[in-house]
Amino acid sequence: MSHPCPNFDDLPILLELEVDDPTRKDAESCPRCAAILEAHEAFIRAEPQPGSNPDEAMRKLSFALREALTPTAPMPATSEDADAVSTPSFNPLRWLMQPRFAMATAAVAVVLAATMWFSSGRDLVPIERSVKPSGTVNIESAALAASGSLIVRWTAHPRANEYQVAIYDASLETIAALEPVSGTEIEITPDYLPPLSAGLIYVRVRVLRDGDVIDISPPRAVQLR
Amino acid sequence: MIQAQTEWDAPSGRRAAAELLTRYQQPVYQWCMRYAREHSAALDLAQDVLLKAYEKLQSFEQRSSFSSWLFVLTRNRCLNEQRRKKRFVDADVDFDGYDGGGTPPDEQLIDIESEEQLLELIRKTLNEQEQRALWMRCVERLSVDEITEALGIEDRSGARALLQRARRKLARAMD
Repeated sequence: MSHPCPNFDDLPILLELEVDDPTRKDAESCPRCAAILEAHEAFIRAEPQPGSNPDEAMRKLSFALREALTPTAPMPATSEDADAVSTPSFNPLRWLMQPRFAMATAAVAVVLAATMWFSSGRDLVPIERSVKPSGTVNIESAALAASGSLIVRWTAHPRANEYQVAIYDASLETIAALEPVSGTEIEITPDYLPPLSAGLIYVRVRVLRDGDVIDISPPRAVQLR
Repeated sequence: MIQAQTEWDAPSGRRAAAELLTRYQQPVYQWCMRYAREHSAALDLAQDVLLKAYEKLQSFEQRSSFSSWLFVLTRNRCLNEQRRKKRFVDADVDFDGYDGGGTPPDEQLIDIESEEQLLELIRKTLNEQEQRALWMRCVERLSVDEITEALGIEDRSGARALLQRARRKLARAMD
């Protein structure tokens, strides 16, 4: 049997497929792909290996990353800043269960240009899997207003019927997607944003035509605090 | 209050990238440990992977999750390093109790240029379960316990006996 193993660029997509996906099932019949699927699980588990020194490794790697990527930025001076680096991943489900979210829900339609729906993320991935950014749609600005709302503006796409803004956590996992809008700007009120403690989020704009995603913007980082 | 940018190489983008990559230090480092088998070498390798990931961030299109993308990058870098240093195995690996006589085939496997060639060889030589076990152990560097669990082996010897058998068959085929 000759199984067509995915190439380097497509391998991450294989890892995202649901267990009952026919492509994944086919891949599991291949010793290489089946082993890589298991290896991916092991990578995520990140179990300490014999002889490892995770504490020192984390300290040195953090320092190296900051030195290499932010040479002009000083290391965090305060404990609050330092904590920001190691903030656990933002959990949208926990956030959604907060009372303030429930109270805000009834009123938000008045002030928000669009209603929103939320997702745990993984079900949004297939939409984007087949779409590469063409460079046509770009986020022009993503700025917090004095009110605390996040205002996102983007360039128009000639084939768009609608646009959909998606929000990602600091690990680039999808946490929310807004109801599609026809214009090229949206105001997202604070009640619909992750809490400031989430620190960093990313936004992207999906271009929709007849309900299909036909293009997507590169991600734009937004520091909430 | 707000920092936003379009490019990862803008100052705020670089800070964002540093924060993003910092979140994945642990899996990258532990994965590198599987190949390097030594803390400082794994640290060097992990740093190299993380900085390479930053260089490639512009090309990350979110067609998959970031963790999957980073895993593939890390795996590829570790395998290349392993080939470059011709270190398919280390002295501290006991070949899972290999008793087939002569040198276990592991060290010869690294001379096989591509994963495709290796795949072809083991497909011709081993049964399906042996193929999986050997690939998981020799290429993906999963532990015997992890392989035992992945393959659902309930036998007391776990995947160890399976690996021994696979190595013996492979050694004969490569003679």
